[in-house]
Amino acid sequence: MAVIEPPPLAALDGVSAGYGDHLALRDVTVDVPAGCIVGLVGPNGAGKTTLLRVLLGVLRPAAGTVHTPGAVGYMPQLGPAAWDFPLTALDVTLQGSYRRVGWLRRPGAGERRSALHALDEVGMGELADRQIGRLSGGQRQRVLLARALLQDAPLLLLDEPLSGADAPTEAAFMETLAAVRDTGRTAVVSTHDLGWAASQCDLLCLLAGRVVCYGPPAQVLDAELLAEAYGGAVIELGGVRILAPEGHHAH
Amino acid sequence: MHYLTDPLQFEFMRRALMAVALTGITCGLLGSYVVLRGLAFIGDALTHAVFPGIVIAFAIGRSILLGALVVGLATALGIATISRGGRVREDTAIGIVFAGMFALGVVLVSTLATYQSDVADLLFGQILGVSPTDLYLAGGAAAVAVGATIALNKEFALIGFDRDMAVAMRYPVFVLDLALLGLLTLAIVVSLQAIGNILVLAMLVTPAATARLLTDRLFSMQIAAAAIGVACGVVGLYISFWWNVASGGAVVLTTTAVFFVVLAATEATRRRPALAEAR
Repeated sequence: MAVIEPPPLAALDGVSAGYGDHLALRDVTVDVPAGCIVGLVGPNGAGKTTLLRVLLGVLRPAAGTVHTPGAVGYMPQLGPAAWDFPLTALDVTLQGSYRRVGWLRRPGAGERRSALHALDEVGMGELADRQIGRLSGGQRQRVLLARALLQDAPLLLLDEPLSGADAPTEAAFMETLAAVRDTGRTAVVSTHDLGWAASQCDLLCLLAGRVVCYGPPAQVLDAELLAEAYGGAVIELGGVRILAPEGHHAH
Repeated sequence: MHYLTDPLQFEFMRRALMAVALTGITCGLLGSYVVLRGLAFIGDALTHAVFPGIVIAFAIGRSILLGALVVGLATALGIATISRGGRVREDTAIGIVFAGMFALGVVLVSTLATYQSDVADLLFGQILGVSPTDLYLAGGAAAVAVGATIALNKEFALIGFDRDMAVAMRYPVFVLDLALLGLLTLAIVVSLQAIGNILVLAMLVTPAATARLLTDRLFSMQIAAAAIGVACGVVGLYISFWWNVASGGAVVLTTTAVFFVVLAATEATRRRPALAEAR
């Protein structure tokens, strides 16, 4: 586990953010160190996606300050709607390089090599020339992860990357995330799977419209804290379903 | 082979061939985005919306292509702005704007009682009357549309494929959408002489839809759509010359026929799984 003192890779200080008049997050103060995997957990509507969008810089907070590294890699929650678009797995991966390549230019041979390498990393190298819509759901998720890797950023933001993932996809994610951490980069991953979060993340951020707890999994996955965040909802912990006791945050 | 060469003796026919070629290339490239992004309704709206521009330019004796261009770009801006606001559903906003614009064109036409047959030319295309000025203007518009589309192709493809990611990568998505609508307007203007106002949509949709059946690569699709558009344009023009039928209708019917032939042929290949696996 990474125990690294300042400077943090990214930091939120007193951030409140939301859409319109509704604040999905209030007063969030969090330091994200370099070289670790941070899990964002909490019930639906807890503000996980909102927090990621603030870190991404596409949602301006209503209050507070945000510090992030210049480049941020991203894997959106739902992914594209247009899977029938005539692009190959390699084309989609290369999209991660577009900002670096710049306007009016095409990715060159070097970018193609990096993209193929990223596809290899997620176990998709052999299917690089396959049209994206002709891949299985798990394979598509891995291509989107390869695209995020190609953004070549010190901070990766992955929004529910494992929802509905098959076993090889989950294994590829674990391996890739380990490589991300080992190279001093940080991945912030939102997830509903507390068991996965407990076993794979260095730090967890338990959200319920605010930060209920932020720290190592052993500290965060505490029955009382979970009850506070989830209210009376059913949650999954280490593959076991438990009913959190009725709390004051039930909605 | 005098069937092929005879028409080329005529200056008007040579200009007409140039005009359909420009139409085929421009509409093929941009039409690919119309097909892939499901913009057929917006494309239809833009084609109808340029109508009052055509009538006004005609009435004051200016280039109808210029009139169409100005009004088309204004409409593209209007549609993009209204649908950005989110208070009216996008397709509703488009329906209101384009029906209103077309109605304005109809009212203006009714004030020009003596020019009815000329107005029919504007609606259905009068390719045999392409003037050198029109051809230069169409050529310029085509050059801008093709150049800009190629220059912005990777950004257009990213937005079409994964809008959320484009936003996350901090692309100016609204501006790029507006640019695409503007380029579509250029394609429509390029096509006015050859195809006419009412049938332009077919040139944007049919060759690109045909090309999509043939390839799984974006750029190949755009090239194929342009090639199909040009080929059908030339064939349609010859049909129009020899059988003395409306050029726009002949060109569009040719593209429609090619689409159904390709649809049937690719359907037959698809049903042979062994062949598909071997790819």
